[in-house]
Amino acid sequence: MRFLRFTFLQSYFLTINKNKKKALTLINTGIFFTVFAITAALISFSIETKISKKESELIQLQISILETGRLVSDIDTWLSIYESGHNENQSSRVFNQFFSNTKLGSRTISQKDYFTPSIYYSLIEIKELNDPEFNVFDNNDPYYKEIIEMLTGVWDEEDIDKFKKAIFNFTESYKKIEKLDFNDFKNKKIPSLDEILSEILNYSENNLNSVNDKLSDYDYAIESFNLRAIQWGKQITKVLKSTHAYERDYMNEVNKEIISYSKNEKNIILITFIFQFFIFLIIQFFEVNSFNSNIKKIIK
Amino acid sequence: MRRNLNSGKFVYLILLVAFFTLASYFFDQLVIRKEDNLRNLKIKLTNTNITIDNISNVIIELTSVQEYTSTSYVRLKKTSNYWFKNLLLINHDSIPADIKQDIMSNFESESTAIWMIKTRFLELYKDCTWTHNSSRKNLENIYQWQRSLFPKYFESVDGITYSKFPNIDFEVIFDEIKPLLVNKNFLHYTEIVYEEDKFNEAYDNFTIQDWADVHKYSYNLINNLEFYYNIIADDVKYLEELFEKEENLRNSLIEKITTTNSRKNYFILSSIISQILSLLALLILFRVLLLNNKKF
Repeated sequence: MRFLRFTFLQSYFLTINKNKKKALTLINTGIFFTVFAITAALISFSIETKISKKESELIQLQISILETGRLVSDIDTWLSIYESGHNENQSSRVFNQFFSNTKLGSRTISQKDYFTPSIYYSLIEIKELNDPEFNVFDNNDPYYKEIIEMLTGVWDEEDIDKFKKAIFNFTESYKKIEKLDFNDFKNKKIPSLDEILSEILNYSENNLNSVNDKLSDYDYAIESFNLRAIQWGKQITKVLKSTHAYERDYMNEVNKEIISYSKNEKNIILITFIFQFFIFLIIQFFEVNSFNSNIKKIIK
Repeated sequence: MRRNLNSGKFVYLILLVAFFTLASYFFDQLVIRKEDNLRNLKIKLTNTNITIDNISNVIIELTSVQEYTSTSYVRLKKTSNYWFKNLLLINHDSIPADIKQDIMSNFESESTAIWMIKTRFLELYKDCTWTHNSSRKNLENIYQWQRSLFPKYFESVDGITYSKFPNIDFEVIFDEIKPLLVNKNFLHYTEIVYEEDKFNEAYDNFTIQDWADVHKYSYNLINNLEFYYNIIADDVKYLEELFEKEENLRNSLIEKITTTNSRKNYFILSSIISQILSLLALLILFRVLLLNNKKF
């Protein structure tokens, strides 16, 4: 069938004499259109490459935004729990220290009983903050420097100073508890009756307000660290929220760029299609004419 | 005419038309294949996202239970000796009478003070048991719905799945301190927690030695709360590693989706370009045919 159509075309072109110039102009126009159509298609090819890169960037950004959002929400929740825990500890400590001034309290609450459990778990939790990639307890860690560099020019000087101060206070307060080992505060041994009686009778050496025992100093150092850690955590959350906001803004920009590229691509593809359609019409014109003229010849 | 058809220029142009038409079909096929790959990759990505979300939620749930056990440990440990000391202070022979009197004079009612000390002491013991039960139940409530994440806590025997969640037996805790106790009957202590009569009986009849035993058992129950903390710490560590693996998988999937998607679009454009080139070759063929007719 294709071969028959080609034969028809060939004989048709051989018979065109009168309108040969017009036919040639029409074919040349068609060729001209194809050049335009190919150019348009190549432009959309290049736009597609740009869209593809932007899309990849957008997906990574979307994931990062989701993760940062979740992280911020988690840290906020934990900071609230941590802070209310810290406040409760403070109230309890103040109350118990006051109660320990009474005859009953001085004999029933010892430093060992009161301080070691919270020192033990606080030290375990502090140990869990250790990260081989980001040493949060080192004021000179490259990550801190990177964060400060990132914030310079974006945050006010005052806010950056607050951030630096929070890191400094946090790392300095850590130095005071760095050498404490949580294993020393396990207090697993069940006290015997005699040991408890001895604690009751010799209460002045180990009661909550006793100056002889170092436990209250350790507890104070840990509570100070916890307070600094809350301030540090709030500053880190602020940095994360700031990064989150920046990422969201940047994502909107990338979205706009993609929409703009996509709109351009859509228009260019439409132009390509229009050119292609005209070329198709030209070809069809010759094919139909060749067919008609050959049919007429056969009928004659 | 036959000579024209066989001439190299025509054949070359016809072959070009055929080649670009075939190329267009070929690219269309590639588009269909890429579309299919894309669908599969998107399903995998959705599944990975769900897994990541699930892991993240389980980590949060486990950490909450861990927080519960650690705060309970601190709360209970702080008072582990307190009520026993109160009881000894008003009741033990080693405490001088003047001290006892001095202490009792602080209370408005001696009987209320004794009642409070004894009941609070027993309540502390009950609290230790309930905290264990709560920690265990909270953990079970997490693990039993996460078989895929924690296959180690499930066992299939003859097609039936059995759970073996981390648990600490009260009797084991009791046995650890058995040599230190006077009354070595485990049930004697268990009944106090669950039966009101036994609770009242303990309140009325316990000697200092019995109270000392309850104190030791309570103390060991508190010490053993660490069991849950450590189990959770290990499981959270395992989940964090799993989370990292899934995240890497998700990143590689995103990369593949982006590549496949852009390739699909390139193939669509290549198909369009092939079609146009095929039309161009056809137009050139027409032109050559038209220009050739003066030769005949």
